[in-house]
Amino acid sequence: MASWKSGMGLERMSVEQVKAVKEQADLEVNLLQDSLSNIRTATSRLEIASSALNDLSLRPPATRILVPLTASLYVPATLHHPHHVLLDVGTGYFIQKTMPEGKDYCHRKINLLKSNFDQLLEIASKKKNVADEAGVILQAKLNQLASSS
Amino acid sequence: MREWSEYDWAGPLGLRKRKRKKKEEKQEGAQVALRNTNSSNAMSSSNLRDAQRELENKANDLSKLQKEIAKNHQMRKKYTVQLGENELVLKELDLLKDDANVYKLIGPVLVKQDLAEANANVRKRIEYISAELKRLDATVQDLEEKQNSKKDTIVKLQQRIQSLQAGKGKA
Repeated sequence: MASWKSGMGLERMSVEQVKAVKEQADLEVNLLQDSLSNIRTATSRLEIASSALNDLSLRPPATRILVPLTASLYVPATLHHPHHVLLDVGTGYFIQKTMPEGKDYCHRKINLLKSNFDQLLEIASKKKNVADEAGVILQAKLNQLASSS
Repeated sequence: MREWSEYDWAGPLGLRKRKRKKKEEKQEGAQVALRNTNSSNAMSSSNLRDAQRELENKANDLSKLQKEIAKNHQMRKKYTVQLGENELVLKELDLLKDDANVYKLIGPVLVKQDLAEANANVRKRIEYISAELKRLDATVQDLEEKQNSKKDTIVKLQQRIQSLQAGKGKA
């Protein structure tokens, strides 16, 4: 209903106005798409963290592990406290939590991101519809102009 | 020898030249404004040129304003992101029990911090960022008002130039 109304509004606008609307909509669509991909990467990183926690909780204490210092340098170490983890919650703050709490944190974050993702996806698809509509009308108007002149 | 000549030509002389040019531009702008108020009805070609020059000046001002608005928007975006992050941290801190261990990353060192202290810190930061956001909103609004008035004057100037050109075409 809303898009139908905006479509009627667009048809009454001049070519320049439709063009401006289209450009604006395209810009917003791109921005939303960027945000979506950012959320996707964040979710995947949290999923990796969650699976790492799962992995870690399965190992008994004093297990020999290799810790990556850089991408290609690993040093041997032993696992001391597999029941506690430090979580980076942002802005430089770290919180010590137990293993189940840590897992819970990851799950909560993932769920939050997923709900944000769904909301954003809805908005993005709506915006994309508006942009497409503007593009179609712009094309029609340009064709009309070309045939009349 | 080469060094000396470079110094002489590109250095202070070039600078002085540029400065002088700027000064001339300023004076010209003032004169244009003066002449326009004196004889806004006269339809001479010099009047037209003056109007065009003024239009150019106004367009420059407008683009400067637009740049400033874009910069403000960027700042706003940055602060909004920080606000969101801080709010997430606060939510997380609120969920903690009183005896939880909280660490703060200072440079490369993790320093243990009181939960209450951390809480107060984050709250203060959120307060500050909110105030900053409000301030930025006010400036953006102010700038946008200025931009709109500039746009109006530019449209008026364009109309005047058009009418001047039409008058010249008839004569």
